[in-house]
This record gives sequence, structure tokens and C-alpha cells, in this order.
Amino acid sequence: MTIAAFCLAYAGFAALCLAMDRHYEDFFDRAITSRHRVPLRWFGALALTLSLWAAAQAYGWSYGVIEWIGMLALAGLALIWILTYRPRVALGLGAGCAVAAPVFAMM
Amino acid sequence: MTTVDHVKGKAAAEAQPEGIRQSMSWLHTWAGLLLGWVLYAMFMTGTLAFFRDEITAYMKPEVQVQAVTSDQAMITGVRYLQTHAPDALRWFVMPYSDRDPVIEVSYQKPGKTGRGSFQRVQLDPATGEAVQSRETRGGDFFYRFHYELEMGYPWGRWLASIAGMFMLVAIISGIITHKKIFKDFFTFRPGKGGQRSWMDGHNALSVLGLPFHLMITFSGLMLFMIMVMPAGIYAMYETPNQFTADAYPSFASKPRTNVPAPMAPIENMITQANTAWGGASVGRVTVNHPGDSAMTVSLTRLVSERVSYGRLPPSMIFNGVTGEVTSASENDSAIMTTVGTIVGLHLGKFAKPWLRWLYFIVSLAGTAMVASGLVLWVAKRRQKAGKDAANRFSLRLVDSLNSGTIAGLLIAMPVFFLANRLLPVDLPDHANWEVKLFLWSWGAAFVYGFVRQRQAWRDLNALAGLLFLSVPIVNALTTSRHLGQSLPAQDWVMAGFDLTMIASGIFCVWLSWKVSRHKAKAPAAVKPKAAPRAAPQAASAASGEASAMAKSAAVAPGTSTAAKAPPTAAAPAVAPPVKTAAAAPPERRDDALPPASAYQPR
Repeated sequence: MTIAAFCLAYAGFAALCLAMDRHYEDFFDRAITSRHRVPLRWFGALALTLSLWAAAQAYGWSYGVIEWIGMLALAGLALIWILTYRPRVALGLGAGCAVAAPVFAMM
Repeated sequence: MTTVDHVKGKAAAEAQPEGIRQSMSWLHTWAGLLLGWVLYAMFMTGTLAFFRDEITAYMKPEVQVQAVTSDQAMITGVRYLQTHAPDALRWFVMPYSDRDPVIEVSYQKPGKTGRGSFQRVQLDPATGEAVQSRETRGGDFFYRFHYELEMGYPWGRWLASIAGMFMLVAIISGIITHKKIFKDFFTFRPGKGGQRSWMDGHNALSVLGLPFHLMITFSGLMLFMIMVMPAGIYAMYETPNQFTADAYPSFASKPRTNVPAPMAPIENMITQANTAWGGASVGRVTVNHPGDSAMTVSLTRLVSERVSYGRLPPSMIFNGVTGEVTSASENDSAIMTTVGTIVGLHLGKFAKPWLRWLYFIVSLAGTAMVASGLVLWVAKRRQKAGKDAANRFSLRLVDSLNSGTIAGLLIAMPVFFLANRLLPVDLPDHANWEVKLFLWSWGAAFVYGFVRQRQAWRDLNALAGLLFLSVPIVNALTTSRHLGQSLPAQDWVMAGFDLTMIASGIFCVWLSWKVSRHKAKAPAAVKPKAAPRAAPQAASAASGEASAMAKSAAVAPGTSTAAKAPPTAAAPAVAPPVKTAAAAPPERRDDALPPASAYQPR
């Protein structure tokens, strides 16, 4: 459940990142349209919320919130770091994390 | 508080001509610089203090004992004191942690006062007998340095509190200044060089760690609340001692009767406490007047059990002769829980290994945030000063202070660990020698930072890296608990420490390589005649540092992706022609970004 929460945090950040002009262009080489922006933002927000829920499932709400905040920082820093040198890998990992999260959650 | 209000008031008054962001930017810059070096040292040692017990265990390699339950440790501790210190004024069985599974007891000898009157003994939980180890302060050194800075009571605590207040001001003014906080959320462009890269790195480290940075700074100030803001206590109590007696009932004591009396069985008291606390363990025992008929026994619940037990977990006080409960405090009022939670979050004693590592990593990001802010101060002014930069006294001074403080501490830490292994085990004052070598090596790095300013960053980081890498090697040569043994045995304290040293070493070497690589490429990338040699060197050194330091938080050192910088990195931002710098509007601040379209991703 901890790994699921981390994956969701990373996937959420990756989606929010992709919903931004600059990073969307990095990935697709064209300007973002609102048809893509809005769902990406919703997905990002949903993934971060689910990540909090997963952390709370693993540690209870009082500890889970603390774990979650720490995981957000770690996931965000990891994303920025990879994004700097390998933008496609960074965002691709986000998609991978989104797929992997439910698997880890069920384990 | 008053300084903050005053400065904020001043900022508000000037808001009309200058704008709140600009004035906050000024405040952020100078509040950050003035105590930045102190804050860096506090952040770094505080980061290590999260692994205080593990560091202590590592620095006593000859002590190898099996962990027991906390309750059992308390019983063993009291038994030892009963046989070995029957005439002491007070007994303490210190908080027990399976992260450093030695039982620690201490007692106050009669006829003495002050710190010298306390005797500490370490016990093997299995035998209940004293164990000998080399004398060391271990992780406690970093823990105390974090808030006392080796300055002695109360000066270090005051400086730490003032620095903490500056930190809080810097964080809040930083949030206000950073207007594109969301737009730049995921942006880091090491290839841009100079000020821009530093700014990105500084922002990323600050924003992503913001909840942690705010929490740790605010709660740190709360820890010394009583010292910094005593007015509340003076309003309610005649003397501070009365407050202490109320707040820490286990230390309150009645006068001795000098009538000898035997002690009731400690096991029964612990069982009573377990029952009252719903099965929870006892984490600490204090016995006042042992062997006297006025004897009291105070049991405190395990701190690591809940976040809110930060400083004042529930406690029960027993009559030591009869074994009856005389008073119990749950410390669960709303105020106590709030204070306990804030303090508990700072100390992180509740954290299990995974969360402890998160604390450690985010706190490292905070350290890098302070360091990158300090370097940014220089990088920004260097870019503005152009070819004049090499002659600016202020830039040279701050740059030397930066390299001496930032890289110097990275040298002092492994020196401390190496001293622990290399100094003769039976050297008198072993613990003090470790500390002395720590401080001397830091001082030497400082001098080097001033004497050989241009090479300082490269050389000091390289030295730090080699020293870090040598710690596991020296450990293997001087003890039997090296990686080849600790990994198969799953001795995670020893193995984790050695692996962290290797990671830190690789990171520092990479940092040094990054600095020198940019230095070497700088003259090729610029027409030598366009600017005097010193300026591009300096600017490129800064840019190299930028990409290097800023990544320290997200870094898994030595990964190959990090080494492959984008081609733009080869052309570091050289100090712009003086004309441009002068032509820029004076209000143009660090947050003035190029438009998004100007951004070239690859």
C-alpha cells in the first residue's frame, strides 16, 4: 500500500505536469488544448487524492497524512530530476506508475 | 517577533513605490544570507539527528547486543542501579530504543552538583552488566550541535532560536516573492547556467519541501518557546521552578527523610502502568531518593508510540516503598496534545524506518535549499557585476564563506566518523578528540576557502567525497562489522551507515567533477577576449555548482542520467555584457523569467 501511495503521488504529479504548456510541448511537440488539459488536471488531482487515501489505509489517518506529505516531496523531486534530463522517460514513468498503483494496492 | 513585525511594517509602508513582492524579495535575500551559514549547519546536523541512535550505534562497533522490550529494559536498568548505585540521589533509566539496543542508565552521585554529578552506564540487555565501549558522543553530538552549535548554554540555543526566526521570515517572504510558484513547479534547467539554474533548483527544493520546511522551522521555534517567550510562565507562576514542577511531575521531589526503606518490586509498578495504558510500554523510569522512605518512582509512557507524545507522554508516579500509585497524568488536554504533536513532528521519534528515511531525504532537500540560496546570492550578483565580479570584495567574501561552510561541513562529518575509528580506542578523552577534529577540519576548510578561492569548491568537494568513501574502508580495516559481514547478517544499522557514506562520497566527487568540468569548458565556450578570464570562470563555476547542488535532494548519486547534461550545459551562461546588465530595469528581480516560448527543452 505504501508503494501504491507513492506511485499514485508520482502519477498525479506527472499528470499535473503534463497539463502545463511547457511540459506538454516537451512531450508532444505541440501546444496543449483544453481537451487534454482538463482531463489531465482532473486525473492528477484524483491520483493525489487517492494517494492520500492509500497512505491513510496503510498507516491510519494521523500517520498517513505525514507519510503522504513526505511521499509527495519525494515523488515531486524525483519527477523534476528525471524530467530535466529525460522528459519523456519522466512522464512515461508517470503512466507506468498509474498502471502499477492498483497492482501494488492489491498485493 | 518584534523585528519581524517591524520589518513587515516597513515593507508595507513602502509597498506603494516598490511593491510587496520586491520588498519581500529584499527581505528574503538578506534574512536568508545573514544567518544562512548557521541555518545550513543546523539543517545538516539536524538531518543527521534523525538517525541519532543509529549513528551512536555505529560509533560503538564493539557493542553488539540483542534488543529487548522496553519494559524489560527498564526492569534490567533498575536492577543494575539497585546493586551498583544504592546511595545515589536519583536514578534514571533513559528512554530505550531498539535502534540502539544498549540500555542506558544514569544516576546522580551524592555530594556533587552540576553535570559532573551524573554518572552514565551502558548495559547489555542480556546480562544486565555494564558494557565497555570507546568513549564517543555519537549521534548525540549532531543532535546537540543542531541547537547548541557547540556554544554552551544558553548562547547556542539563543543563536539557534534567532536563526530559526530568520528561517521562518525567509520562508514566508520567499513564498510571497516567488510569484510563479505553480507555473515553475516542475521546472529545473541546469543548462541555463548561472543565476537561472540556481533559481530553478532553489525553487524546486523549497516548494516541494515546503510543508516540511514550514513544519520543521515553526516546531523548532516551539521547542525553545519557554526560553524565548517566558512571559506566559511569569504571569502564572512565581518562579520558573514551579512551572517545571507542574509540567514535569517526575522531577518534582519531596525532601528526603533519611529513613532507609527498601524498594517495592519495579515489575509490579510496570505491570500496573501497562494495564492503565491499555497494554502500552514504559519508556522511561525516574527514581527520586532511592533507598529512602520518601522514595518516588515515576514511569513514563514510550515516546515513540504516538506523534503527540513529543515531550510529555503520560506518566504515573508511585510511592517507591509501598508500590502504590500516588498520581497519574495523561497529559491529554487540548493544549498539551497540540504542543506535543508539534514538538513530536519535529523530533520524529515516532517515525518507523520508511518514514524516517523520508524525513532524512526531505530534510536533506532543506539543507540543499539553504545551500543553494547562499550560492544563488553570489551567482546572481556575479552575473550582474559582469567582468567586475572578480574584484568585488563582497562577492569574494561570501563565496569563500560559502565554500568554507558548505563544503567544510561535508569534510568535517566524515572526519568525525574517521576519528572515531582511527583514534586509539583507549585514548583518554576519545569523545572530545572526535569533536576537536571535527571542528579543526571544518576550520581548515574555511581557511582554504579564503586562501585558494577559485579552486576551493572543486578541491573541498573532492576531499569531502574521498573522506566519505574512506569511512566504509576504514571501518572494514578496523572492525569486523564491515559491509561484507553486515549485509549478509542483515545488520541494517552498520550496512545502512556504510552505504550512506558511499552514496554521499559519490555525490561529493560528482559535485567536484561537475564544478571542474564547467570550469574547464568555460574558456572554450567563450571568446577569450570578450571577457577577462576570471569572469567566465567564476560564472561557469557557479553554473556548474548550480546544477550540481540543486539536484542533491532528488539525487540518487552517481546515476548515469545525471552525468549526461543536455548540450546547452556545455555553453554556460557567461556574465552578460555590462551594457545589458546596466540596461535592465533596476526593479528587475530574480523572479523575472523568460517567457515560456523562450524555453528550449532539448
